[in-house]
Amino acid sequence: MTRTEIAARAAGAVKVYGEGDAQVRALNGIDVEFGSREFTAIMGPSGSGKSTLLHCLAGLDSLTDGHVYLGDTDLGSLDDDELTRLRRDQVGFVFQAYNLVPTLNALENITLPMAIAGRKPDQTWVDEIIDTIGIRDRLQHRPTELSGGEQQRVAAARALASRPDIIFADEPSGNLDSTSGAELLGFMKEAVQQLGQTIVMVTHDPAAAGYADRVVFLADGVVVGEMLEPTRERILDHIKLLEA
Amino acid sequence: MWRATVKGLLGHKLRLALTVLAITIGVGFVAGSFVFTDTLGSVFDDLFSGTTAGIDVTIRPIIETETDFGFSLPEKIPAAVLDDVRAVEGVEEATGALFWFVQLLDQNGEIARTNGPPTFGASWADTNRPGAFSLREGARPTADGQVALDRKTAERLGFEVGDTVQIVIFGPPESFKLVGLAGFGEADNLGGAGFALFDIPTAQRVFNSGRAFDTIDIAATPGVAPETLVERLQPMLPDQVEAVTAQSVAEEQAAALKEGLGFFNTFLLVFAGIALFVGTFIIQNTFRIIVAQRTRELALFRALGATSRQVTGMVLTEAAIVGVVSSGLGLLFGIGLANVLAVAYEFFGGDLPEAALEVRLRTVLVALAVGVIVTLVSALLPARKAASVPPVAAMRDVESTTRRSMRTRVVAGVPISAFGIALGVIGLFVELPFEWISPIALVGAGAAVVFIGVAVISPVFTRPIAGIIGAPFPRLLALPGSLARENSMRKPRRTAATAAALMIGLALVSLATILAASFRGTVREVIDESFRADLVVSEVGFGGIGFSTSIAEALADLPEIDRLARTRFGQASLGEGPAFVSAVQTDTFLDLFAIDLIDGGFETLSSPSVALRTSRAETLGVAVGDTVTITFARTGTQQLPVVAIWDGQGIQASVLMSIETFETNFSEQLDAQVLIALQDGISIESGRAAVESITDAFPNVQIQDQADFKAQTESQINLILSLIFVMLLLSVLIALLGITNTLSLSIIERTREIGLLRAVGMSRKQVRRMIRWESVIISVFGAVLGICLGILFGWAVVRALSEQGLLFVLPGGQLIGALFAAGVAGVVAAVLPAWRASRLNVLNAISYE
Repeated sequence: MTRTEIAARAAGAVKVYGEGDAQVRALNGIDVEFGSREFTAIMGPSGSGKSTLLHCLAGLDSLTDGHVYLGDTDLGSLDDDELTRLRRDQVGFVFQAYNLVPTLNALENITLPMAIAGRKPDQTWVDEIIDTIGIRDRLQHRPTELSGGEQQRVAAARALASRPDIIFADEPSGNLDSTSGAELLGFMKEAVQQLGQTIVMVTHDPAAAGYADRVVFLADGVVVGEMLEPTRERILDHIKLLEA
Repeated sequence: MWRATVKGLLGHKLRLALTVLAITIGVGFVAGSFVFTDTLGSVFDDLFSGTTAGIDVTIRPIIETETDFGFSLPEKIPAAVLDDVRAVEGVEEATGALFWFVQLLDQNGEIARTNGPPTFGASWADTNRPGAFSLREGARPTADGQVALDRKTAERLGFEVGDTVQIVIFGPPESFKLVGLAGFGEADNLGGAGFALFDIPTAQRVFNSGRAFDTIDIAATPGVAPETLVERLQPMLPDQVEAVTAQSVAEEQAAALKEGLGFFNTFLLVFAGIALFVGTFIIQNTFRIIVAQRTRELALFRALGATSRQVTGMVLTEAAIVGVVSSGLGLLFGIGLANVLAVAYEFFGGDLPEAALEVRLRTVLVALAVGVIVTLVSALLPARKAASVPPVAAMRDVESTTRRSMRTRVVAGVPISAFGIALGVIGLFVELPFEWISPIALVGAGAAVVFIGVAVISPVFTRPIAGIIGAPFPRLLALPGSLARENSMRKPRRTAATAAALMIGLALVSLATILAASFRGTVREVIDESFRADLVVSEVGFGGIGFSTSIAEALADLPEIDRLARTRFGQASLGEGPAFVSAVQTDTFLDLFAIDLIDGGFETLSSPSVALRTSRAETLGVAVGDTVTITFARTGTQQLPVVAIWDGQGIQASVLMSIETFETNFSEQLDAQVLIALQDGISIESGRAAVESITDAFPNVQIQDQADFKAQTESQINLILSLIFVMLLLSVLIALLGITNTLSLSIIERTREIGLLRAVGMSRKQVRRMIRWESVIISVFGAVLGICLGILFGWAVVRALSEQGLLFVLPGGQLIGALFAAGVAGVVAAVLPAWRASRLNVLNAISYE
């Protein structure tokens, strides 16, 4: 698999929380790139800065120093309104939980970013996604009437529905049982391979990371390793190596 | 548990801040009313004991008629009585005194309007004893052409000693030289009323009193008790004249003013009560939401071994602390408010001596008790709900989304509302066999109970109504609009409780608007029906009783005038009670003023006789041809035949008689009105100009046509209405605080959801819009309920008054305006919560523990 373009990139990114003795350098001058049409997993122990990196790449948080780019856009140069528009039009999200607006039904949640933008969703595309994730019979249900797995699949469908340049997923299967988790991750992999999407996923679960095309390992706010075509076993081995 | 309670309270201090404010405002009004009226009350006490300084006994006409009208026209005391009194043993000194209403002209020659009470003319006796008036500057008037004014009035109009002051009494203005400024005891005027003081002969001349007096003030020889003197004097006095001790006069006068003050206090307290009532809804709602948000925390306490009673106690203790804090603040606020009222009182012409505001212990206790009790009662239900949280809830995940049945709501709410309606109906339509509660209080209590009942039921129809109100939102406002609509429907109880507070304010606003419209409509109808004159000449303001008869005499000669009818006004006793008497020019009156002649006619009214209002004739059981007994102050008891029975509005009197009969039986001969019909072909404008050529010399009269009359009544009604609006604004304001509070609390609950919306691309503006329109739905919902109730109440009250001829008028435009205003208010209430919601940190909102 060849890398055609860079979808997102961090260059010398530094993020510092707190002051003085309580100071934490969550990102310590990190350089990393994420290719288009690629499913990348970011792994690392707690406090390695993986969630911070994801938040900064997605325009949810700002850097202390350095740069992050989505495509060619330097996020540091955008104000809040521009960042909001960027998240709405160019980025998709799947969080670990609380992904859905409880007052909207599944279909409304899927088309939420377009509704916010006041745009008509691309119906064929939305239909395709709905069929792919297999929730057509649940579209009129509210989130509370859906199982955890269904909720996360609706969230993934939402992330895809607006055809964003990149999707960020933060432990998307973290709250799911293994079957539902596998279903969700399989669907995400399919979205990359067959629908040509780009996904960056933070996870600490080697099994989940095994669905990715590439794994980036973080520790103490910098990249400490990388693996292409990972499997659960190879990842576990690599982690042992890193910890050694 | 104490530490946990305090910690809990501090943890939620922001959430409770608005609740505290709601109680503070209500308690502040209670405290402010008391402080202000207490202060004014003691000022009046001092004032009136000052007015009688040096006087032991007063001789005055017996005032039989106690009317709502505020003043009566007693007869004068002949000068001979003064001579007789001076000869009585024990009378050290006796002087006559006179009073009348006067009007002053300002520096521009216009009638000087007072903001409040009228200006009195009075005599200032030539005696060295201390009296009511004390000289502040210059000298006492001692000759005709001289006057003294109270210092406050002189200051207000910019007059100084030596200036010429023009004064209108009955006729054209007369010039007097200002020789002195007077005070009234310690104060510069008497409870807001101004004084123009003359020497006795001048007062007798300008008040048309001949040599008679209004009262005789007596100083007793040292050692003679006032009571003894009263006993000695009474037998020698003519009928209709009595001797009373000066002390009881002072007490009566102070009591009269204090009664007015009592009404004012009640008025303020009623609105304070409404505000507090509205406050209870807010407090209850706040505590309910806080308890819901702390379910896990409370469950943890239970899991760790706290009993359900301890949990209840914890919530109630919180409520008590909130109550004490906000009552304390309310007390301070109330004292500030009393200061504002004092300033307003001075603006309306009053003069407060440098008395500090009186904060009595009673005021402090009442304020604290009211605040704490209101808070505790409001927190009772939420506290019990807190106690029912099972320990296992600590392990469960947040908000339960199951929709609990609303059946209990209906089962409880319907009987409550029915009970309230029953109370109201009894108060309005049933003659009560007991007196311990007034019908008005009953109606008020009924309304309060109906409010509670409707508030209990309203969650049942929150979803459909909020859905209808918000129906156009999704199309007009896109996604934020549909989310606003959904959010307003997701917690029906919360939305309903929040809206209920506004409902109360809007119901009362609608009620006032409907009553005003009904009065206005009725008055218009009456004027249309009865007002046949082209122009009416009447007195300006409400001070005097009438104007010189020379005006009508001069008007009669004008070629522009076809005919005119003069009227006079007086009081007498008829049968058991007092009666207003109108004298009319019998040959022309019926042409110029329409009344329904039920029986008999006015043809023979010119001879000594009366025409009675139907209702009065019915009470007396008399018909045309019968004779009634009327007692006049001047001529005593008279038997007069009834020649006509009539009915009609627009006349205050219940007895009509001819000018001739009036002249025989009353000593004061002043016209109250001159009704004018112009010649054919003379326009109202040129007719008015002609009349003005006569009345220009009399600044105390005005000329009005039908439109002016309507406008005048209208402005009076509007004045009262705006006063009520200002007072109701208070409860509407508290209701808005409630909306702000609920929204803020809801936003805390929805932090994660709002964070998610922001993460997937909702702009701050859209978040604000979402919150704003949710607020609009809540407030419009409250307004709809309130206006419906207001219409119901208004209709019932008008029905109850329909015997007095009141017609029901529904001011549709104004009510729609109120609805619209409520929507705008909703926008305002949402400003702060919407801002906070749009500023939520997205990252914190979406990150999980």
